[in-house]
Amino acid sequence: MKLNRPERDRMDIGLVPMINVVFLLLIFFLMTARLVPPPPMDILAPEANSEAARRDADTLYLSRTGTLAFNAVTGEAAVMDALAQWTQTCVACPLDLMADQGASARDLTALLSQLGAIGVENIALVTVQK
Amino acid sequence: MRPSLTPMIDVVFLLLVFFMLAAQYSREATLTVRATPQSISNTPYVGPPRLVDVTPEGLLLNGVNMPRDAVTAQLSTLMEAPTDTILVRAAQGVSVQTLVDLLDHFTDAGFPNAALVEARE
Repeated sequence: MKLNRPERDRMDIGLVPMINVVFLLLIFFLMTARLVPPPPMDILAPEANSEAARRDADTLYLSRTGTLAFNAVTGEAAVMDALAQWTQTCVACPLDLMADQGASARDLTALLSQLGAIGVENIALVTVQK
Repeated sequence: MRPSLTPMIDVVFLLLVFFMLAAQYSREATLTVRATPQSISNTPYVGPPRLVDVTPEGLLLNGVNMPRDAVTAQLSTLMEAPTDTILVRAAQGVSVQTLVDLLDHFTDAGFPNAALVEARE
């Protein structure tokens, strides 16, 4: 029995456009990808109309139950220590604050004034567009 | 000699799939938040008191309970410039989402400078 194989040259010609497209897709995803480490806790950011883009800043997390996390450190005392050191090494750096939408607003306020006391300014709350 | 294309295509596909899966396409944005100590040292508070209390039951402007639109309307009469600081104080039992809704509303209404103050027990 003789199978009707396609000629080798014709197969190569069909391959080139596909490779082009795949490269284009690859470059697209390379350029647009933002690889952010996932939050250490289950956090649902509050919804807002704000459109200010998220910056490339270190992120402080406040969970629904009031637990704090920052750069692989959890627990209020440890996080505040880590932040105090962070302000020494990274002077006037912006800080992103990702608070759960169900967290207590009073906890958030208290946290902000603690951050102000150790000299962290330029704080932005992470929100999700509606 | 023409090198074989197949291994290269394999690698490119792997990279493509990796970036497609790892990319985060959330609609994340940010909202600037301030606490009072810094804001007062930078720009001193001027004009009549503008203290908005957020409680689970509703809003209070300088201690008077009123709906949100009334708060906004009253606030504009209490401000010399739209950039004047508004103090926002959240009561026990108010969620971050409720607070953010209000801050968002003030920003939309043209009052970008709300500062969060702590309730004193």
